[in-house]
Amino acid sequence: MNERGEEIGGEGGTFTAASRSDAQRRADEIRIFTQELQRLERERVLTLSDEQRAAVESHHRNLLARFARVHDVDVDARARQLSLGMRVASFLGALSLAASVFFLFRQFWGEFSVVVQVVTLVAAALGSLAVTAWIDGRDATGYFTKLAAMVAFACFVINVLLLGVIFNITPSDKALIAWAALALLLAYTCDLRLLLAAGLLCLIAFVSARAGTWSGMYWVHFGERPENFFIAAALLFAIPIFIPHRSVSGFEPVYRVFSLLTLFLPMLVLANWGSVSYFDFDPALVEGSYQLAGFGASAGAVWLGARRGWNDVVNTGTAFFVVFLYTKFFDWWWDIMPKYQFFLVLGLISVLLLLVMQRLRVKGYRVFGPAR
Amino acid sequence: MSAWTRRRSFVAGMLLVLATNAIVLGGVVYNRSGEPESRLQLTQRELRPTHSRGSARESGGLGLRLQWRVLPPGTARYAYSYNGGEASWLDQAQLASLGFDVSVPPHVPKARRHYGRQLPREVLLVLELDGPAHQQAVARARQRADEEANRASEANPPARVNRRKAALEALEREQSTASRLFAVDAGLDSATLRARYPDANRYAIIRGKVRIHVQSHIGAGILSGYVSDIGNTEINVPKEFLGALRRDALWPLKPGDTVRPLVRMRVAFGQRLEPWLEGVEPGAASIQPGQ
Repeated sequence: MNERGEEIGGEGGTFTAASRSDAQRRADEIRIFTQELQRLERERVLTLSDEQRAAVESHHRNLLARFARVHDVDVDARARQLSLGMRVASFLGALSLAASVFFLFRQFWGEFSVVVQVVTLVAAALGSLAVTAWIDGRDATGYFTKLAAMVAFACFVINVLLLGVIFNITPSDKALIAWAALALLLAYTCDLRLLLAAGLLCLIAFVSARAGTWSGMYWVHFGERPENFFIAAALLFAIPIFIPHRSVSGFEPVYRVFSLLTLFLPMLVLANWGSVSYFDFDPALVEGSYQLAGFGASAGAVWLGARRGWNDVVNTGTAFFVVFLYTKFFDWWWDIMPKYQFFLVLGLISVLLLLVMQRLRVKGYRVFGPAR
Repeated sequence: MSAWTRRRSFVAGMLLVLATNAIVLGGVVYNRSGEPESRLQLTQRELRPTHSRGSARESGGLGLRLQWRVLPPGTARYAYSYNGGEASWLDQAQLASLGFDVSVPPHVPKARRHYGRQLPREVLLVLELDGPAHQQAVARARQRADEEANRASEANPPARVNRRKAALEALEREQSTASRLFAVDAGLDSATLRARYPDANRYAIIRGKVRIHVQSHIGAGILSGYVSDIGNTEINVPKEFLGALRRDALWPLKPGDTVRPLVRMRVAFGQRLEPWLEGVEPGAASIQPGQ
C-alpha cells in the first residue's frame, strides 16, 4: 500500500512512518548513524564486514527512497535548506495571494450589486477550498497544498467579514468559532502548523469572549478581565493529552505553547495591574497573589516539562519564570538603584542562573545517564 | 491521513462554509422580514460618509456613519459631543435596571473604585430624530447666544466679540447642520421601549453600550451614566444609491452653507435592530434652518 502515513512493507522487514515528522526524524537518524559509523571505522573501534555493510547500506537506501517518495523528507543538508526556502516561499505566496483577493474586492466592489457581492464572496471561499482539494490530490510535496489552504482560509475570513459590512450586521464573537473550525480542519488535513496557530487564536478569543459574557460584560471587552483567558488555557493544554496527535507533525507543542502563553501573559498583566482582576480586593493583594501564582505556575511548568520530556514546556516555563523574576526586580530596585547597577545586578543573576542550570544538567546526567 | 479521509475533510470544509453563509444570510433575511421595527428619514446632518472604501483609482463602495448625540445634563451645559456622551436621563434607578451594581453610595471614598471597575454593558438605546431633545439643544444654543448678546461691556472687547461670534455660530450649527438624532433612553427589552416610544418614524431602537462612573463635585459624588457606543454606526450604501450619494457636492455640511443640496435618506431598522438604507430622495435645493 502506498498511501501517505500508512504502513509500508520493505526489504528486510516492515517499517512504519505515521507522519512526515516521523519519517524526517528517521532519515536524520540514518544520516547521523552513517556519519558516526564512518568515524568509528576510521578510529578502528568498529569494523563491519563487507556483507554487513552492504546489508545496512541497502536497507537504509531503500528506506530513504521510500521516505522521499511518500513523505518528501530531506535526505541531506542541501535538501533541508531548500525545504526551508520552500516553506518561506509558500508562506509569502499565501500572504500575497490573500492580499490580492482582498484588494481585488476593493478595486471592483462599488460596481457590484448586493447579489453579485454575496455570490462572489461565497464562490471565492468555496472555490478556493475546491482548488485546495484538487491540488492536494496531485501535490506530493505538500507545499502547494499548504499555500492553497492558507488562501482558502483567508477567503473565508474575508467572506464573513464583508458579509457583515454589506448587511450592517452587529459584530458577534460567533464568527470566531466558524473561523477556528475551518482553520483547524485545514490544519489537520494539510498538516499545517500556521493554520493551527490561527485556529487556536480564534478559539482562544471565542472561549475568552464567552467567559466574559457569563459575567454580564459586552463580549468585546473580554480582554479587560484577563482571568477570562484561563479557561481557554486549560482547554488547550488538555486537548493534546486526551487526543493523541500521532499523524500530524509538531501539533502538540503548538497546543502546549499557546496554552502556556494564554495562561502566563494574563497572569503577568494581573501581577502588575491588580485593579483589572475579577477579584474585588485591594489591588496590591491581587498583584502579590498573581506574582506568587506566576512563579509557582512557571516553576511547575518547568518541572512537568522536564518530567514528560516536553522541551517546549520547559522553555516556555523558564522564559516566564525569568520574566516574573525580572519584573519583581524592577519593582524592588529600579527606583532605588542607579540604572547601571540595576542592569549589572540583572546580568550577574543571569550568570548565576546559568551556572545553577549547568550544575543541574551535569548532575542529572551523572545520576540518570545519557537521555534516552 | 488517507486520501478518502482527506476528501471527506475538504467536503466538511465546504459544508462549513455553506452553513456559515446560510446562517449569516438567514439572519439578514429575518432582520429585513416583515415591517421594519422603525424607519427614520435622515439627511446629511445625521449621516456622513466614512472613509471611502478604496483610493481614487478603486471603485470601492461607500459607507455612511450615523452621527448621533447625547444631551448633556444641566441647563447650563450647552456644549455637545458626538457619538457618545454623559446622559442626563441615566439616573441611579435606570442604571440599576440596566444591570449595574449601584449599591455603594457615590459619596463614600470607595465609590470611585467600585464604579470604575464596572465594565460597559450592552443595552438597547432609543434614538430620537428631530424631537424634544433637539429642540432643547437649539433652545440652549439660543439662550447662550442671547446671554452673550446681553452681556455688559467688558474690559476686553475682543474676547467679548469672539464669545458672541462663537455663540452665534453654535446656534446656526444647531439650526442647520448639527445632527438631530439624540439618544434619549435605554433599556433591556425592545417591546417595553417601543411601548414607551410608539412613533416608529421618530424613534429607533438600536443596540448600544452604557458605562457607569462617579463624578466628584464639591466633595459629593454624583453617579452618572455615559452612552459610549451604538452597535451599528456604519451603513453600507448599495450600488443603486451610489450615484446619488457619492458626490463631492453633498459633503460635508458646513454652517452657513446654503447651496449644498439636501438629500433625504430613508434608513430602516429591522427585527434584529440592524439598519439598512432603504431609499434616497433628493430634497429641497438647499438647507434651511430646521431641516
